[in-house]
Amino acid sequence: MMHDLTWGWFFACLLALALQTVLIVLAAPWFSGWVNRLAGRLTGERRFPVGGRWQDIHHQFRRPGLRQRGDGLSSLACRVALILAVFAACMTPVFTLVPAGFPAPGFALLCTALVGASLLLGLPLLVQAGTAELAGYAALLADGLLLPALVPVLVMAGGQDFSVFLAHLRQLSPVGDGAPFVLMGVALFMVTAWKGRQAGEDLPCQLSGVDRALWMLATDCVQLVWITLAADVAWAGSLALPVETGTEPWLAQCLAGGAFWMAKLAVAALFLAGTQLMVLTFPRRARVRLAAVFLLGLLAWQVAYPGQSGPVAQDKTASAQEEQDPAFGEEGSTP
Amino acid sequence: MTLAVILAPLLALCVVARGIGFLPVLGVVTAVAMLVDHQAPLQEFGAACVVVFSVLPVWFVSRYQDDGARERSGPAVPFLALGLMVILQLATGTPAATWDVPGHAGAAYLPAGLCVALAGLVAVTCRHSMVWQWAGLLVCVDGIMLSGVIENQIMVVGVTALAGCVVALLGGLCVHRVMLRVAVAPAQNGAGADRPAARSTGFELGDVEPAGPEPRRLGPEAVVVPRIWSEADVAAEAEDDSAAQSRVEHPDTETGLATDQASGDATEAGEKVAQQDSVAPNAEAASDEGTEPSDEAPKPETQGESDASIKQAERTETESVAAEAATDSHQPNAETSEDDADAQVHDADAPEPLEPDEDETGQRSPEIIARDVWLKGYLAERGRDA
Repeated sequence: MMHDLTWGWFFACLLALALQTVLIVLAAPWFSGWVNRLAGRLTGERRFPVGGRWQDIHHQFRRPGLRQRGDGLSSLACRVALILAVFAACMTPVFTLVPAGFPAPGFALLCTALVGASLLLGLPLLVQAGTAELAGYAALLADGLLLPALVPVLVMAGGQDFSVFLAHLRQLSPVGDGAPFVLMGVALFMVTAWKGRQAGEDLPCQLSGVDRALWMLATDCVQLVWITLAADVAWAGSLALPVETGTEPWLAQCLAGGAFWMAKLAVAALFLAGTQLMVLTFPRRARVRLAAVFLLGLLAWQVAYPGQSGPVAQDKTASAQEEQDPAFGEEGSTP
Repeated sequence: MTLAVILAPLLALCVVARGIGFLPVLGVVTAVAMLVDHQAPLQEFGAACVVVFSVLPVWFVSRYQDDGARERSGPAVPFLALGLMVILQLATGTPAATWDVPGHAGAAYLPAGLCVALAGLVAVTCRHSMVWQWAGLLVCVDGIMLSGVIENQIMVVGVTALAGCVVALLGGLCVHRVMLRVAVAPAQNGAGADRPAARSTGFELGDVEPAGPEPRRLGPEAVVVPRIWSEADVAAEAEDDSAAQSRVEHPDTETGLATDQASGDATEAGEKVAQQDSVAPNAEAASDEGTEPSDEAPKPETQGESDASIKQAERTETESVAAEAATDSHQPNAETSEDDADAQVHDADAPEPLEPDEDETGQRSPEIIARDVWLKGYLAERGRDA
């Protein structure tokens, strides 16, 4: 598979991947601040401006931290979580796919990295004693159960590379045959919908200094990667595909893909702010999230691949009927 | 399989989860899902029906206040609907007709209409507030209509249109019967607006009359108790008018009349109730009195109290007669107790040949009046027996 990939395309893809990763990491706090601002506008509260989240992270980076018990483990968990989040961001297509010969990860690896980052982000809550400990346990449990809830979605994507899967989806129109994958995108969006936030409130994390900045940045990165994944699956047609066309059309498609990504993020921010209007307690939010992810994924899988979930006996009966009456098939094909 | 077909069950789930607010969006999406494939008259009729059944009820409900019914069912209800949809999809599978046709082999299929109807049934079953159940029924109508249009069943579409009309009408009637209007109804200027039947309908804010009742005078101590005394004054004045014209220029009566005209309209509603209370025993006394007027007059009055009581009973009778005769002109005024004391003093000072015993009962209260009325009736009974 490597023979049709020239070195020029290889380095262009590497450059695009690096650009995508930097874009996601830099845009994550902005997106979070945007969602926070929108939710504040919807609920009628005064919130920070859009850049407030990024300023907060920048400010925390320069502050000296207060050393507490178990802080070493917390800082380690934050750093590993950020690395995992950046790794997942590197694997997520923002505006372009990678060509067929390029080494690309599978969807399961991507989801595992994101869930692992979420688990590690819940670890600092667990280390510190007090009231946040219970919330930490709940968050850990909810994130741990997320991977089993994602099984229908993982089955939909199959064992193939995620880029190949998206390249297959790219040919389907989302308003036509690709409609079940919109449902799959909704299921992926539900992962972040009620994630640890109560009307814009963060989980109570008592980290300080650089650790807190890393924790906030990793949280935003994980959220934005999930949103980007959902948007990619829901409408893969906006992603550029290299090697098929020349370099210049690919660059134009990349620019258009970036613009479409912005539009998708705007829609997702509206929906996220809307979900923050629902006031639910923390365990109930976790249950709602897991049930929505699982059931929507199951429904999407059934709709997308009806041959695998449909009854097999009906198949034989229908084929037998068609043999007896050839007009049956034509009648079925006309409407 | 289009996006609208996929979105319709999701919006039905939103109706189950959040209420009737998503119903117009569901109707529009369902209409789009009908019209995308073909645009035959059947599809157009179904789409128009669905839009009408989804938009009009929401507009109608928006004219009423939120009933504030506390919903006891939790957030797990839409997941019940979602799980039932999954089971329905499992049970339905792919139709054999599309499964073996080469163009449709493996094509996506979702019984969207049945899923929408199922969500509506879940909303009807699990939600408790009236508007929510109505929304569930309308979602059912939308789903069955979508299913009928997709399967090209004319009878299903027609019957569903009829059922939708019935559901919308009955639900609208229930909403109109139970819920309160949001809009402030303006005060009507017609003659019918003055009737108490027209006024008693009101939780409406526009019901207050231009010359509203004064709130200070509406208390029971301000209206009910002095009213009896003022009626007594009016009765005494009527007697005086019949006997002699000496009390016409009485200052107290003039001030009383002045306050009457000022507050007569205002305290009308409150005084009608009090008037009914006072007229009822007086009417009984008058009926007793009217049967035997001759026995009463020559009756020897041995007890001092009975003398005063009979006089008082005569006064109350004449008072009731006078009040009935001159209801519109001499409405009892709502005076305070100081005015009553003044009136009592003036009554004592004024030359009254018919009532010399007025001083004895200077401290009369409604209880004493009631006791006197009872005593008078008792004496009348005794006289009849004798």
